[in-house]
Amino acid sequence: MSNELRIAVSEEKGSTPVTIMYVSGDLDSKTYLDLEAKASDVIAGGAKNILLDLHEVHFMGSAGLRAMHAMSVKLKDTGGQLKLLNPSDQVARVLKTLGFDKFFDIHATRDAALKSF
Amino acid sequence: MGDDRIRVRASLDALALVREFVERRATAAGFSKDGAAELVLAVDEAITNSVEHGLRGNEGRIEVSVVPQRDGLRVIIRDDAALFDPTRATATQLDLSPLDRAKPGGFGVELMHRLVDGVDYRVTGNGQNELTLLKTRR
Repeated sequence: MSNELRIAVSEEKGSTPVTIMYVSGDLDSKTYLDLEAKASDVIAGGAKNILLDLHEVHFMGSAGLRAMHAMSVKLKDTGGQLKLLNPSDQVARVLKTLGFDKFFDIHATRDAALKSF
Repeated sequence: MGDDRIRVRASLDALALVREFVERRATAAGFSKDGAAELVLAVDEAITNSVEHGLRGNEGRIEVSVVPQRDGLRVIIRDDAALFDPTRATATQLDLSPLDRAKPGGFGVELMHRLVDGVDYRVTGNGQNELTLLKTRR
């Protein structure tokens, strides 16, 4: 019934290192803190740039935006960035409805996203 | 088709159950995938608000009823939380970057208003919050 939140992390060690966080399941008011916590761990471990892969997110509410906002602020403090990759239709709807699509860098493909950092 | 309703414990654990209930009813009422998704999202924001701000972690119950209309659905949400009228919540200023807004936590109410065609609030005779969301079929 519920699609629990799952997060996997990988590192791209190109000219600009990027940490990719693959998120799947439901990102709601129950689970958004898990995303924030994982991002905090990743940032504490030295990550400056994070690419959030949202293709497999089945549901996202405004709490997901809360998490992204927190992540973005933390990364800005270290001179880094948060960017978004290939949001699912439902996620794209939430981003667009609240205008977050104009303020986040959103890419359709992994290659384009990585090149943009 | 008559009313349909569920009662859940006012807990974040119940969110997924309510979403699934609303999605099934919206699909059965002829909503498109996008229309159903919008309604589900609006209801989720309303329930979350109730759990997080109204009940503040205290046990309570939330009742969600889905009432067919000629051209859509009415979703009625009743709870025992502290009285809160989301129709009077101040809209965030859209000309500011979302990342610059002081309190990103206020997006839920704004999102809810934007996703449905009508939002109505009243206090019931026995002191419950009653929020009604109206969505035209699409």
